Amino acid sequence: MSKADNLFRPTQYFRPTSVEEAVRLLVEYGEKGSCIAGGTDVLAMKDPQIEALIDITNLGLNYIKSDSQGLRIGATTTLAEIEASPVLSEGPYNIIAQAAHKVGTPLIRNLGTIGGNLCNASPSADTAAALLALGAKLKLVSARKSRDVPLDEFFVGPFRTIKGDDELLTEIVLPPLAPRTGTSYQWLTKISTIDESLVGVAALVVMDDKAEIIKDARIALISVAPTPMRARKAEEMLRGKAVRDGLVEEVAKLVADETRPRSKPDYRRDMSAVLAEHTLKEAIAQVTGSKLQGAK
Amino acid sequence: MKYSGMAGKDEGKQTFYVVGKRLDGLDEKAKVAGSVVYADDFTTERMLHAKVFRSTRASAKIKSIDTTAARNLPGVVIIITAEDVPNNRSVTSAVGQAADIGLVQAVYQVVLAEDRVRFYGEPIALVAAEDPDIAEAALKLIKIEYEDLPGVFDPEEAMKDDAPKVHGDNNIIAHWELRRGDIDRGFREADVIVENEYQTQFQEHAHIEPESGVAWIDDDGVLNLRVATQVIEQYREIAHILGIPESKVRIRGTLMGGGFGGKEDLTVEPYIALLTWKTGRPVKLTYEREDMMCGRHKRHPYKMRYKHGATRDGKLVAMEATLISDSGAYVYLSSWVLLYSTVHSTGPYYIPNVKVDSYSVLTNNIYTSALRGFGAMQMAVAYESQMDILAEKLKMEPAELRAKNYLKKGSQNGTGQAIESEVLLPQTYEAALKALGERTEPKAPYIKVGRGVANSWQSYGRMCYLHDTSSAWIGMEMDGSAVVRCGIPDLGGGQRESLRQITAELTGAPLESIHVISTDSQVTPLAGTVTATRALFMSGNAVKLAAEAIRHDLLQKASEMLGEPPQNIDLYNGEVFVTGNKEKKVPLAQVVQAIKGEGNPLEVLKTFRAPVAEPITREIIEGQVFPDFTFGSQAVEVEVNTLTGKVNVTKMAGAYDVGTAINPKRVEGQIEGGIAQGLGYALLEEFIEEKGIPQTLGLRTYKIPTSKDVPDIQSIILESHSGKGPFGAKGIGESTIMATAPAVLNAIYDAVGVRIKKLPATPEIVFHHLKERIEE
Amino acid sequence: MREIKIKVNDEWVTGPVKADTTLLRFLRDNSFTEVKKGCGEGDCGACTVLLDGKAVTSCLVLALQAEGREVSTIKKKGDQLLEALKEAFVKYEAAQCGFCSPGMIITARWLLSENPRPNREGIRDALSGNLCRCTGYQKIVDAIEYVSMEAK
Repeated sequence: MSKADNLFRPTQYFRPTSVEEAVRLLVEYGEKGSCIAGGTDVLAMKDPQIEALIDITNLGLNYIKSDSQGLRIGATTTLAEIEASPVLSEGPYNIIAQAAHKVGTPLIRNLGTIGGNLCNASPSADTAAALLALGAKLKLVSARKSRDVPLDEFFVGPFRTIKGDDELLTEIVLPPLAPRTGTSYQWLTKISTIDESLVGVAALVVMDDKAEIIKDARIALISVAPTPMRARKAEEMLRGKAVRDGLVEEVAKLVADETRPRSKPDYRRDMSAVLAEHTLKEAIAQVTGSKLQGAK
Repeated sequence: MKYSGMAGKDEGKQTFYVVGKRLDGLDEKAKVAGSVVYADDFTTERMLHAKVFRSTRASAKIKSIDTTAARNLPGVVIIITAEDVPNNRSVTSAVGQAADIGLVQAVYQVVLAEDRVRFYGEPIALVAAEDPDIAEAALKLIKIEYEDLPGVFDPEEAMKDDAPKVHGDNNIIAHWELRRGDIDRGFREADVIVENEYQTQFQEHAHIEPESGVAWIDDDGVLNLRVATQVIEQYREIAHILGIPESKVRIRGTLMGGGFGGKEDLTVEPYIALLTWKTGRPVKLTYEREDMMCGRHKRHPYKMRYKHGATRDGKLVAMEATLISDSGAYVYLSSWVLLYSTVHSTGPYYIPNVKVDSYSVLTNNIYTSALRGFGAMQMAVAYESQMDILAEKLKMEPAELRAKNYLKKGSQNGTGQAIESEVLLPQTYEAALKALGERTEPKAPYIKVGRGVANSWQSYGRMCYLHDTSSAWIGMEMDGSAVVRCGIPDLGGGQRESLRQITAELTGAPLESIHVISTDSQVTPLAGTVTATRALFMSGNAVKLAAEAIRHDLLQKASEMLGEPPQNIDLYNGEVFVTGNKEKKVPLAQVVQAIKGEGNPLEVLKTFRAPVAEPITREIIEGQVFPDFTFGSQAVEVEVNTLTGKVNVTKMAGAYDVGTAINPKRVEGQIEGGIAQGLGYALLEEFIEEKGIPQTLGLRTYKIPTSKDVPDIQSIILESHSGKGPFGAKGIGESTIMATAPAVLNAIYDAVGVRIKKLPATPEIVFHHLKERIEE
Repeated sequence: MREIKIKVNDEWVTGPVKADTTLLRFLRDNSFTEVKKGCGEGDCGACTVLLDGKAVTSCLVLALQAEGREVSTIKKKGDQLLEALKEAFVKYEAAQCGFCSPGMIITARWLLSENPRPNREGIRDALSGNLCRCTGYQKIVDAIEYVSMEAK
């Protein structure tokens, strides 16, 4: 059957046992080849271009390692493993587990991988929000080289990334956490409780040693722009500021202004502000220990 | 529990051993064992696989269609278009079901589109191939040229003279009226008037099992269809389409993975029938979820303009309403759904002056037909919202206002039909509300908690002028086991199990020994459809008649054997004994053998006839339309997040008078399942089309409630024993979906003072209303 | 086309598959029709099986990915907890039409292997990928809770 029939009918399946072998297959098949790990996006998206499926679940890329250098998550770690990982169960990295828990259903999460969630590059990929807020970098390996790409630069459009057809995402790397870091991830779903996110906001703040001044802030959003995004102007507004009444509310409005939602724009903008306010307050409260009004 | 012995002789039974008990069903055991052969689980040799080629335009002429490339694909066996269909016009209504009354047109639907398509998803061609993948590939190779025609997508637009016409020269395909008293005088008497417009959406059945069936020609040359269907009598329509005698078509219905009205009209039957008839080979067709979303009918969206008048002390004196439903591209059951809406539009209240005008209008949207509630459901959204709004205006409690106006046994509804059974609404309202328990504490200052209650009423049994009947056969075996033959299909609501229980109760055969053969149009006596909440009422009564006849003979013989009068003898679990002296007994098998030994085969075929009424001959609906009604209430507690508009349901309760619960577990299941489906209708579900192009093509975008969306549900069963079903039962299947949406809307109002009049009540809509109110 | 072996309910099953044949298709074509197809897109959960002990939607797994691995369906024998769940589903009337039940019970079995004493919210969380249109989930949650409390 020819590709004229516009059907998803891959004819080849490979299960390489080394990254080198996997990458070689990616080179061979180019845009006609696709990695498959959990399969939950590949088999649902049904791209008719794909002729070869390259199963990357046997490359030893399933791990979560935390040390003084930071956090490294293998690309084919399943979302279920991430949500259950003791390494991620507490502290600022917990938003990764929360975001993973949000994706799909328990059945999907037993299959789906964090690398898959990122490479599928849906504008509403929950893990992207958490990882952007934490300053993640992605390790992309090709036949000739490997490069570390900030997640901020990874997404270029809906379902499009800078990853070449000949590159394999092997690892997600997070820098070590600064002291007095607080994080929060919150979302609203489109319709039912188990659903794509309509708006998702992940916030990270780093406070000074008196826990009064915000040294650094990162605010990431999903489902309000063609790609997962950062609200950089709002972040700039927070840097160096002392926490005072009304600060977060003002910044939350700026966050909403930076969004570019296509559908239901008014509601999404309003909700971006609501969630930005809540996540910032919760992130700050994690460090200051106080219960700020409005934290979820 | 007293046996009210409605149909047939009153045997004076005092004790019930089986009916009313929470017994485990044999069908349920088979289901969890994984051994039920649903429609798609069945395969046979040389079987072909079919797919349907569908329109991708909402309103267009078919300029040309070229199936050459598709036919030449290796493995494709046949492609069929409209010209290959012997009779391409299929009439929705069965014999005796339809007449042209005023605007009502029993319009046909086409089996396959001819020169025009009228909705996105309309079937144009059929493909049969050796493998489903090949059939799917063949669909992509069919070349079609369309010429777009103007379409119309809003029913009110479609009512205008200059609107594009979907069929013929008039898009209005049905009009019904209620007229009681004097509406003008009624409103003059009113101290308070409440007028509002309500809007409801397309809902999809979303049964988890897709439509599916296999057809083959058997050794006798009879076309067999093994298919998931709510109506095995469709064999007549299949015969008509093929132009063959009705006696040459046999439908074997399967245990269905849900129906909700979605397997009531013809689904895959005409297609597999045609393909099998033309190829001589068995053909299987199972729909993909996309077929189901864009190719199968939906619930009618309604616009409902209601005006109520009440006196200062809370008596309803007048109700005026205009109802407009979207019939979509084909009529199907739209005129009957509209009739149900019109009759139920008043709600379960006595209103002396009523004026209702209802219209069903063709558009180029997806066609609409039966879905659990059948037009009565949308009305509850309107009348129960109106009642709460009226109550507030009158400064009365919602329960109090309703209590002053409930229909009672003996009072007349909007068509002048007297209610013949008990109306336990005061009790169900109170029970449902009470079951919510303590009010949930709001988790944060921006979360508001509210509660709402709503009633509903729903007919059970089909319209009386249809002269509905249901037949059943019971035969006793020599060893005291029994076989029941009854055509009733089983949707999953335990239709078959109820028949088993009734048979066990009256004949004394052990429950597990009773084999029910059902749903075969040439083997089982026809019992009618499993629709209109008629299964227990009709087939239950039919089985009861047959079982009573057998019981009579058993008791007579046992009386001889035990030397006791028949009224002192009872039967249970294979034994026949003297009540009050259980040691004086004889095995049932022995009694059966004695009877059969004397030339009485102990096999009985009985037909139960529903109450009949005169045919409706004009647009004003009057008199007895339905056999009876079921009444009940639901209470709901919600949390409204005032920052986001999100409504979270925290508690739910449903209380229904089912007359008599044959098996309380199953009744609870109907309450819980109906409430969950109602929750979806209230908050989550909307099949969306933009200019007739579907936007929700699967379960990822059309969201039905998950286990996380539905809280714990309390089910409360009340028994008035006043129903017309077996042992005083009423039907329950459809009732339980009706009151959820208005209860949720009333609860939202209680929480945040915002009155939502459009479903579903999405967060955006609630948020928008909250924002508007703040701005005021 | 290639012949592969998958261990289904403790027995090796051999069958031909293409690159894109799903595990669901492989199972149903090899007589395991207790595994149902409700949507084929991972949205309904009717096709849920255990793959190496984890509940997954078999419509989103390639048969080739499951080659040589262990699959359990609702017909697996000798699993006491599975039998207890089935009995509870009957006792509590947690199966109405029964179409979602095979997948639902498998997910419940997986839940109890990870968390032997879940609370009702935990049960609802675990079931959130298995859609039921008939029961409203009430009796399903009741049945699973009962088994979790009764099991040793």
